[in-house]
Amino acid sequence: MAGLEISNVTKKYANFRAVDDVSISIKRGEFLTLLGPSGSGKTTLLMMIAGFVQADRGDLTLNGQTITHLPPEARNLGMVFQGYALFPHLSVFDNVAFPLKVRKQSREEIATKVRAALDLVQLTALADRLPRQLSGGQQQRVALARALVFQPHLLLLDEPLSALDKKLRAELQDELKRLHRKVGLGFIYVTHDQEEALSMSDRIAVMRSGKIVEHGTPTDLYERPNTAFVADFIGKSNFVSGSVVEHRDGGFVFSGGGVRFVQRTKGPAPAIGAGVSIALRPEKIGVLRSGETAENELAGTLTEWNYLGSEFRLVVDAGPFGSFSVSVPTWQSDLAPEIGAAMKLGWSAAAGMVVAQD
Amino acid sequence: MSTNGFGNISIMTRSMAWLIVCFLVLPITIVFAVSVTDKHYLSLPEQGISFQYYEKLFTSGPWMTSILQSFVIACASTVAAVLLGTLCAIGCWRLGNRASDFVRMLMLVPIMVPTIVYALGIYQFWIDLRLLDSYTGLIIAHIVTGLPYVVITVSTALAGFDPRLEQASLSLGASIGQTLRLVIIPNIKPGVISGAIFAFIHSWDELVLALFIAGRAVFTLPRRMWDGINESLDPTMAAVAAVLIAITVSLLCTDAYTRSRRA
Repeated sequence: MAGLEISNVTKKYANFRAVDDVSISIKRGEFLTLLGPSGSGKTTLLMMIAGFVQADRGDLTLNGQTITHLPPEARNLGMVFQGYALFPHLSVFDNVAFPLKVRKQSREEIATKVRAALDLVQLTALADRLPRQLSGGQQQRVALARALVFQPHLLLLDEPLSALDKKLRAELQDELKRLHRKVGLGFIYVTHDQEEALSMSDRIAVMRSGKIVEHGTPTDLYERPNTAFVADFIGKSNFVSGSVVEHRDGGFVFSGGGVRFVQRTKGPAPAIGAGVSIALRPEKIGVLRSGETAENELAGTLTEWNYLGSEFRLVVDAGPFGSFSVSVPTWQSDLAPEIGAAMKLGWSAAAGMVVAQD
Repeated sequence: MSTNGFGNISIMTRSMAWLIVCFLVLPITIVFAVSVTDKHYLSLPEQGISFQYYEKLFTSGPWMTSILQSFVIACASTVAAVLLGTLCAIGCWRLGNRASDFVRMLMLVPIMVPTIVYALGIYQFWIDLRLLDSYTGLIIAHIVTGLPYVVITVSTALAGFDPRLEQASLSLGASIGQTLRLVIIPNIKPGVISGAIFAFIHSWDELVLALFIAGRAVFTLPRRMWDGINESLDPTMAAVAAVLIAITVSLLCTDAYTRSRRA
C-alpha cells in the first residue's frame, strides 16, 4: 500500500503512556492532522514516525516496508520543526542544498533542484541570506523547501505556524494548502489549533491522553462528533443531558432537569431509560422572540454579551442546565441585548448531536 | 543618556579599578623591562636598552631545542585533547542523562586534584609503562590534564546549541558522522577553539609534570627556565618570559576575537 500505516504503536515513559495503542493510516497525497491539547501525545507520535522516538510496541509500515526500527536518516521523510531548525551557519541556498549534499548528488543537480525548491516557495531572491536575516514567515518557507527538495515519501510538520502572528498564519495556511496540492505528497500536520486543523486537513485525528479519540474529515468531526470531548474541542458546544423517555419516528424524546427535549437521529435511538448527552453548536441555537416557538425551548437569563461585527455572542444562564453559549448573526437580528434580561432559547430536533459521555 | 551602565561610575570606583588592573599587570611588565637589560645579571636596564638576550635566546642551541620541544608537545597534546574532549562533550550532551553528568564531572578531576599529586601518580605509572622522559609520556600527561579545559568550553557551547538542529540534520538524511561534521561542529566552533587555546597554553607552560616525568631527552621550555632560575640569574630568562607572555596574550586575544564573532 502506498502510504504510511501505523499499527498499535505504544510509547511509555516510566508509568506514563505518551502514545497508547494508536493505529491510523495515511494515503499518498492526503493531508492528515493530528490535533489535540498539549500532552495528548501528538508530537510523540510524530517523533515516532520521524524515527526520533522508538515505539515500545507496534509497527510502522511505509509503502509496504516496515520502518519501525529504521534510524531517522534512513526513512526519507521530510520534516518541518517547531521553530524551523534552520542551520544558522548556512545560507538559505546551503540549507536547502543540505539534504542533497549528504546524498552526494552532483553540483549541477543540486543547483537545479535547490532553485526549483526555492521557486516553489518564492524565495529565489533570498538564496544568499543567512537564516537570521529572514522574517519568521520566510524562515518557515526555507524549512519547507529544505524538507521537500529531496523528494521525501511524506512531509511531517510539527506546529510549524505556532510562532507566527495571526495574520501571517492565515496567509501561510493558504500557502501550505497550495503547496500540498502542488507536490501531491502525504502531509502529517501536528497542531493544537482546531481552526487550523479544520481549514487545512483532509482528515483530522483528535488525540487525547495518548489515544486517538476520533478521526474523520473536518465536516464529520464538526457536524457529527461521536464524543463530548471532540464536540467541545473542535468548535464549541453546549451540552444537555437526560434520559430517554419515548421513541418517535426518526428520533426520541428525552427528559432532563424537568424539561422534555426532542432529538432526531439517523441511527437507532438509544433504549428507553438510557442516559443521553446532546451537544449543541452555539450557532444552531436561536433566541426566540415573543410568540415564536421551537421544537426545543429553554428559558434563561442573559449574563454576558459580545458584539463581534458579524455576530452577537451571548452567554445565557439556563439554571440547572448551566451556561449556554449562543451566537446570533447580527444581520438577521434586531437583538438589543441587555444583561439580566429573560430569554427563551430554541433549537430544532435536528440541531443536536448525540455524543458519548466521557 | 548613558545606557551601558558604565557612565555613572564615580571617580573613586574608577581609580580603584585601575589600581587593581595595575596590581595585576605591572609585575608582568617588569619582565619586559628586565629582558632588555644591559647588565649581566637579572636587573633593570641602567645605561641603555639592549636586545642581546633576545639574540642569545634565539641563537642558543639548548633554548631553541626546548622551545621546539615544548611547541611539538603542546601542539600534539592540544590536537589530541581537542579531539577527545570534543567527542566526550558531544557524547555526554547527546546522552543527556545522569551517567553523562557523572562523566563530565569525572573529566574535571585533573584540574581539581593538585598537579603535584597527579604528577606523582603518573610518574609511578610511567615507570611501569617505560614512558618516562619520552615525548609520548609527556604528551599523554598533557592530554589528560588539558582535557578538562576542552570538555568545559565545548560543553558550554553545546548548552546553547538547539538539539533540533541535530534532529533536522538526521531527518534530512545525514548520517551521524555527517551531522557531527556539517552541523554540530560548525555551530560549536568557538567553544572548540577556546578549548584548544586553553589546552595549548596549559601544555606550553606546564612545569610540574615536566619536572617529574621528563629530564634529559625531553627538556621543555618551562623546565629549562626553572633550571635557569635555580642555577644562574641569566637575564635570558626574562627574554624567554617576555616571549611566552607575548604568545599567551596573542592566543587569548584570538580567543576573545572568535567569541565576539559568535555573538
